[in-house]
Amino acid sequence: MPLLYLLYLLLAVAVALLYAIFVACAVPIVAISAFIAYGFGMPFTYFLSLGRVLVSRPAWLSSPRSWPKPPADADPAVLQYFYGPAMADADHAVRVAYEKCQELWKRGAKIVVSFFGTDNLMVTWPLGIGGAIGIAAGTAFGAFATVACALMHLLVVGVAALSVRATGAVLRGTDSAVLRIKNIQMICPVCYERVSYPAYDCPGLTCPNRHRDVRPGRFGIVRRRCYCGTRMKTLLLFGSSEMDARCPHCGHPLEYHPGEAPEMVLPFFGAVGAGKTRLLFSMVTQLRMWTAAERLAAEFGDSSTARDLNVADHILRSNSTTAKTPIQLPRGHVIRVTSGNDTRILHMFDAPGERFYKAHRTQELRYFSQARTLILVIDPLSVEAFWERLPRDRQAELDSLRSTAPSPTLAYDQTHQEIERMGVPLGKARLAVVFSRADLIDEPSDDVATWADEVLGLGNLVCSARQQFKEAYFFHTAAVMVDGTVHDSVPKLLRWVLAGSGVSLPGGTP
Amino acid sequence: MTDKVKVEECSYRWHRRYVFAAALIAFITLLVVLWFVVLKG
Repeated sequence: MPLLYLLYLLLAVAVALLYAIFVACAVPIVAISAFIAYGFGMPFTYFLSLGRVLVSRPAWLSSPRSWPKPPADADPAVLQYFYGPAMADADHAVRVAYEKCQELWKRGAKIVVSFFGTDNLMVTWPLGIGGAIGIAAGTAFGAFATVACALMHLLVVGVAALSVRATGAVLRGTDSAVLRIKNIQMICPVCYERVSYPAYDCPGLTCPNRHRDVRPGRFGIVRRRCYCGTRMKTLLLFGSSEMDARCPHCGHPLEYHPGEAPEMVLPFFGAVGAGKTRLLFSMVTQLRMWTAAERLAAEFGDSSTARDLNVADHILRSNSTTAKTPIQLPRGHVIRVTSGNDTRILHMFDAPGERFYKAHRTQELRYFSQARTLILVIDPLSVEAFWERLPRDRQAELDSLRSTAPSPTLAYDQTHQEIERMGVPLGKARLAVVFSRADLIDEPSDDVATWADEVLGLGNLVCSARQQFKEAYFFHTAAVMVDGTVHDSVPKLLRWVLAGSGVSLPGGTP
Repeated sequence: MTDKVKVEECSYRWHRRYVFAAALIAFITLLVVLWFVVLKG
């Protein structure tokens, strides 16, 4: 019997030893397994969630909690990814990963609890203890690794966002610098406002969207995408001028593709009937004749200019009278002139003479504030002192052609004061004083300025023009065509006008 | 899915892929750096 008890005791000790070995092995093995599952499972879950949010985007994926919205009055374009959506995606990925990790924990906790509720508790409790220890340690390590993953993701997004914004700022600055170097300042021929950058219509065939500022920014760096899906270039450097431009202030179409060449505002002013429109027609006709002779290239910049000026040479050739310029605010005639390698966009403004007698009417001609070369047109026949000296029979002959407007000095004084009030530094502006009717009046024997002073009695005007302006040049022109050519005085005037902008026209500078 | 959302999804497709790849590469780089630091330590 004692031997049997000894045998039972030995058996019990052996079983206890085996059980202890089982516990000693099971707890760490399960703990290590759980640690590996959670320690590596959590960062893996994060990357899996990131992959679902950023790459596969399955249909069942939950919606992001928030999504960046541009201001209500912003352009109809898709936000650039790094101007908000990237951070929203990061937030979305963290939330999806957190949900998946919660599922992982719940599943682990359920398994651990199940180990303590079985009939074989003696066998399963070490597994439960090992699992609990492993899950706790694995979660701590996994959380650290997951945070490291999330930080790496945020670092990538942050660096990319900074790089994108810096690139946008550099490109924007470069574009502005190129415009400044090329001396390109744009102006709307309708509202006369300075256009810092044109607005553009979406090039999509049926898309009515208009983009007020396409430059690199929150909607795109090199290109932007309209809500209709069409891609648009963001900079003049990249060829945005190929799109249909509009004035950002009044919305009027700018058909001449602004931004490609320097623009020059060329206002004509002077008394009623001085010959401003006719002079403009003769200048346009001369440009077209040079174009026909392939000595330069001049083309109308928009359909409105083409409609108004297509008849210019016909009117000059037939020697018909020009229609009276309407009293309303003038629309600029836009002409693109290319001579050699130089291209200029001419905005020629022909306002009616009535607008130069009263300050408030002159003030409305705000395009003067953008002009650095001006053309004053004077009809010598309207100067009373000169008219009185003409023989009676000559007076009778010219009476129907003579401008009956008030003294030409009134229009000059009025206009140059208003231009000064607009903030134009006259000391940097050039003035062409053009005496019309050279076909009816004998050529001055002296230079034109001396003739104006001594014969016309406009000494004060001549003196003032020379003192006030950086450069004043005096011309005697005839807006007529003789034998199919424009009067010599007109190309001379054109050369002087465009020489101020650095463009050399056929025949050299005057 | 509205047209605007479709356009956004299409517009962001490659940006998202690049960000995912960059994040993965950054994390692996971090692991490699840590590994060498631990080995040296």
